[in-house]
Amino acid sequence: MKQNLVCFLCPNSCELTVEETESGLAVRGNRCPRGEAFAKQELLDPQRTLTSSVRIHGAEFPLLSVRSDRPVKKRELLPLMQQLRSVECTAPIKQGDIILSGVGETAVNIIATRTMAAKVRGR
Amino acid sequence: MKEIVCDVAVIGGGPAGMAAALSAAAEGAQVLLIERNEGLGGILNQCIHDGFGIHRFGELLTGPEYAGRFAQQVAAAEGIQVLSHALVTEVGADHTVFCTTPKGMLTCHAKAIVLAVGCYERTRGAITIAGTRPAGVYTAGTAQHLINLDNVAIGKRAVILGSGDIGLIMARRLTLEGVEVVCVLEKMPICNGLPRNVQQCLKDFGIPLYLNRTVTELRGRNHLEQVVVCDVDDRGATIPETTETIDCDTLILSVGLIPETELLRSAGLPVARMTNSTPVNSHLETEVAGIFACGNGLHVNDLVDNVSAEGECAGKWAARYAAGERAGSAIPVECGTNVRYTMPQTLLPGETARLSLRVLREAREQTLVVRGDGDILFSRKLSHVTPAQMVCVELPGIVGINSGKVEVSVE
Repeated sequence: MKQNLVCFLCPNSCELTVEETESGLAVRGNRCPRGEAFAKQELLDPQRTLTSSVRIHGAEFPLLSVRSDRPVKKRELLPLMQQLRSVECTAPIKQGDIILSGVGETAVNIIATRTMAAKVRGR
Repeated sequence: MKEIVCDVAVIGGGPAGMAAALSAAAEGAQVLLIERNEGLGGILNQCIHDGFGIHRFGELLTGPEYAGRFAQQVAAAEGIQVLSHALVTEVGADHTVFCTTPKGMLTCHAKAIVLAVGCYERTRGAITIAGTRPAGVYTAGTAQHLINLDNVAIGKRAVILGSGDIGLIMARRLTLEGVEVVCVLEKMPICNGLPRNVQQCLKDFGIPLYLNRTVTELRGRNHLEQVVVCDVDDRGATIPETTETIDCDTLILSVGLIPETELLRSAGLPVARMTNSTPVNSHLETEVAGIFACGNGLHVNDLVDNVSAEGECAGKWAARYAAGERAGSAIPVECGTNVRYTMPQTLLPGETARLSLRVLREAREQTLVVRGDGDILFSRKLSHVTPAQMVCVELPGIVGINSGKVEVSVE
């Protein structure tokens, strides 16, 4: 089995070919060693960083942008989104604050990606 | 009307403007950073996905995180005054900046100006789609703002026209938010977005991308109900036999970005056709001495790292201009084989320059060649070039060109 992939660890976007051989997976087209690890991971257990936003009260905007602090399994993305839908928090929040801890199969933390001050009254 | 003075006025507090303010301040200039929103960061604040800053910070950050790192440096830097909620209405060739603020009009007399004003999106009007004018038609960036910042849901079943990066990213975003994305259509035979976005945003979720296919008509009385789509031939003419109607309540347009040029024009600067912005030299100085430009207001970039690098360059030279340093005359760069445009458009003799260019056509195993008087002055191998991916190289200083111009080709 031969599969074509695009590495997205950096903007070089190397075009990778992964082939199953007797001695394991053979990766071609990568310009750095991270590409080989990426291709193998992608075939065996693809992972993504989840980025989304959750409801915040008392801030300038109604939403706070968040992400998982580590990549999660690709198939976890939609179930985790479902979980984020009911999450609410209150300003002030600092970038890096944990909004939700140990969620999903990979037990990741959901962290704030933006600092949001409490809204000044009367504005 | 209130009047103030400064060494360098930076217009725009996005990634280009923040980098420009920081590098100008590092040169010892008194900087006024003018931003129309409440906070710094510009468009990065609505780009909540990751993939930013791998070159600069060695890690994949989200847009708000990338902006946050710069905003922290701006807050800590000496010599930068941030003026938020201020909209610049006019820039004079004499380095006067007129702006509106919540406290009234303000005039800033600067020794040098950096324009870091960003770009805007092409709309339905720019691409002329027939049909009614229903609600439910959004540019990708507007949809992104509504969903990521304003908590506004925009529809249940969407079609995306145009394969620009924001369109691809919105395909993923909408899917994660529970909106069904039927397909992405691209009129051109090639995808306009980065390959990594095709993989992560479309293939991950099984969203089809149809090339050589476009929207020809919108249907719906008050709200969008259907789009009519059709293949196009290699000259862009529609092929009626391939017509199909798709039921949807949302159409997202990701059909191109155009640099914001209103302030350039007010300063009397010309706008070139290829970049839709003004020509600059290696210092990113425009044809009006002391007015510099950078970021997406100068030419539309793919990567924020490049935007920050341009901001740093413009800010540094603006500060030096304010301190009395003047650049000499520059050598024009001509576009040779398979080069759509270069930025800068002129090179200062003997100075290294960061040369960005876009190609016209996809090609493999190419060489970027800079020639002067028929001699090869610089060359660099490029394994794969596409119009969607900007090429960026560090060019060594060039001297002693008798013909007074150089030519850049990708061959």
